[in-house]
Amino acid sequence: MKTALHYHNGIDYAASWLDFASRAESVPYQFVLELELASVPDENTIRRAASEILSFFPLIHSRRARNMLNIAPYQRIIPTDKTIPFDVSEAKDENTYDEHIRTFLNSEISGDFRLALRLIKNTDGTSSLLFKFDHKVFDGAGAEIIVDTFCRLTHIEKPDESFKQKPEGPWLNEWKTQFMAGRTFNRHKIASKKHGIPGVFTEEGESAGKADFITLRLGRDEKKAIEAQSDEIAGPMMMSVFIVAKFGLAVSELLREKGAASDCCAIPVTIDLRRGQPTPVMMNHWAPVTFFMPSGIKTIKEATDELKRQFCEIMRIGYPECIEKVNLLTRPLPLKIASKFFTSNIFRASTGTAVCGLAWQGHLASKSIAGAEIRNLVHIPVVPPKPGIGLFSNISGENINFVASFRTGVIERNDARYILDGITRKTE
Amino acid sequence: MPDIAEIEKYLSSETSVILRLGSKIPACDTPLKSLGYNSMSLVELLLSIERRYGIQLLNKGLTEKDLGGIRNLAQRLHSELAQT
Repeated sequence: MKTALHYHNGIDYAASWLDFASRAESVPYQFVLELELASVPDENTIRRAASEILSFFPLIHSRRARNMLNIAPYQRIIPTDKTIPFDVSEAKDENTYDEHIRTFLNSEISGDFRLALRLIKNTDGTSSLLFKFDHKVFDGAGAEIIVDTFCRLTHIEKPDESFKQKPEGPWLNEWKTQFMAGRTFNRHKIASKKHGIPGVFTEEGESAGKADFITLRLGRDEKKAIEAQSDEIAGPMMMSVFIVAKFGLAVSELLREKGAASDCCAIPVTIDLRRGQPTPVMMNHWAPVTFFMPSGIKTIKEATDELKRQFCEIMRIGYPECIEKVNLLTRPLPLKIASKFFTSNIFRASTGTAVCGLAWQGHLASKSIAGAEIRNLVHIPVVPPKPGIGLFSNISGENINFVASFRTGVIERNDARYILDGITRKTE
Repeated sequence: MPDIAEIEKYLSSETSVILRLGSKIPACDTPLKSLGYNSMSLVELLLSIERRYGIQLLNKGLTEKDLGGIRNLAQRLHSELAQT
C-alpha cells in the first residue's frame, strides 16, 4: 500500500538544522518527557502499548528523505514488525536516578525509531517512565498528545481514532506567503539590531560537551505564589512574559558576573502555535520569537514592561507564523548549507544568549498508565551546543516544573543552578 | 459609540477566529483562560481591539476580573471607550 508523505514544514526543517548542529557536537537534538509515577506500571502492558502506538503515529518509525520531483524533505514511514526500544533500570538514590535520565538523554535512539522508552524503578516503590523523542519530528506539545494516547492504550478505554496523525503539506506552491514571511523575517532581523550586540556564553572555537540538566519541581502552593506574583507585576495571563523576564534578568546578571561585554541578552522563546479543538498533532508546530533584554534593566517590573512591549510588536507583525513558512525557501539547499544560515550567523555565531521553552497548554489528560498513578510530567530537552543553556517549563496538573538544560563545556553546573534559582529568587 | 452587546458580539467572533473554534460560539461568561486563551492569543485579541476601537487595553492595567469572560472584557472596553 502506498503511504502518504509527511512533508516537513518550516519548523521541522529548522529542527533538522538544529539536529545537524547538535549532532556535530556529540548529542542528537532530542528531548525526554519524564512521567513520575506513584507505583511501578505493568511492564507487559507498556510493551503492548509500545507496539500499538505505531498505528496511531506511524512517524515514530520513519526516516528523513527528499522527494525526487520537488526536492522537498519529508518523513518517510518505514513499516516495521519491531516495537519501540524499551529498557528497565533501577535507581537506588537520587544521583543514580538523575544519571539514568542523563545517559538516556545523551544516547541516540536506535534505528529509524523516533521514540524510545525507559522505566526507572525506585527503591521506595515509585517509578518513572521516560519517553525520549526525536525533536526533528516531534515537539513538546505534540509529544504530550502522544504520551496521552500511549496512556489510553494501556487502559480498557481506547483512544479516539481522531488522534491518528494525518499527513500535511507540502506547502510548496505558497510562494506569496513564503516571500511575505521572508520579508517580515528580514525586516524584524534588521530592526533587532537596534538592541545592540547580545552577549553569549560560548567562546570562539569552543565546542560543547554532553547534555546535562537541573530540575525545579514546584507544587500547588509554590505555583500559586508565582502566578500571584506574575498577576501583580505583569498582569493577568502574562505569566510567560513574566517568566522570560525573570530568566532574562538571571542570564544578564550571570553575563555581567562573567565580565561579558554586551548591550543585551537575546532570548529566543519557543511558542506553541497549536490552536483549536481537537488539538492537531502534526509534527513540529512551535515558533521561536526572540526577546531582547537590555543590559541596563535591573528590576523585574522594568523587564516585564519591556518584554510586553516587544511581545506586542512581534505579534503585531505576525512574526510567529512567519517562522513556520520562511524556512521553506531554503528547502532545496543541502541541510549542511541551510544549517549555516540558522545556527551560525545570527547573534555572534549563536541562536541567542539562552533559549527558553514554555509548554503550558497541558495536553496530558490521563491520570494513570498501566495501573500506575501519574503524579507529574516533566519536559527535559537537549539544548543546541550554541547557546548551550536554556530554561524549559511545563505545567502538569497542579505542578509547575522548570528545567535548566545545559551543555558541559559551555556552562558550569553552578551557573545553571544560579539561572534556575532566578525563577524563585525575589527581585525588586 | 458601540453598545456593550455590539462589543460582545465582536469579541465572540474574534475569539472564534483566534482560537479556531469553527462554528462554535464561545460562552460569554467563561473565563478567557478556560476558553483556551494563552498569553499569545490574548495579545492577538488585544491587538484586534486596538485596530478596531483604537484602545490599547494591555497598557490600561487589565485585571483578572476583566479577563473573567467576554462579557467582562466588553464592559471594560465599553467603559474605556466612554472615557475617550
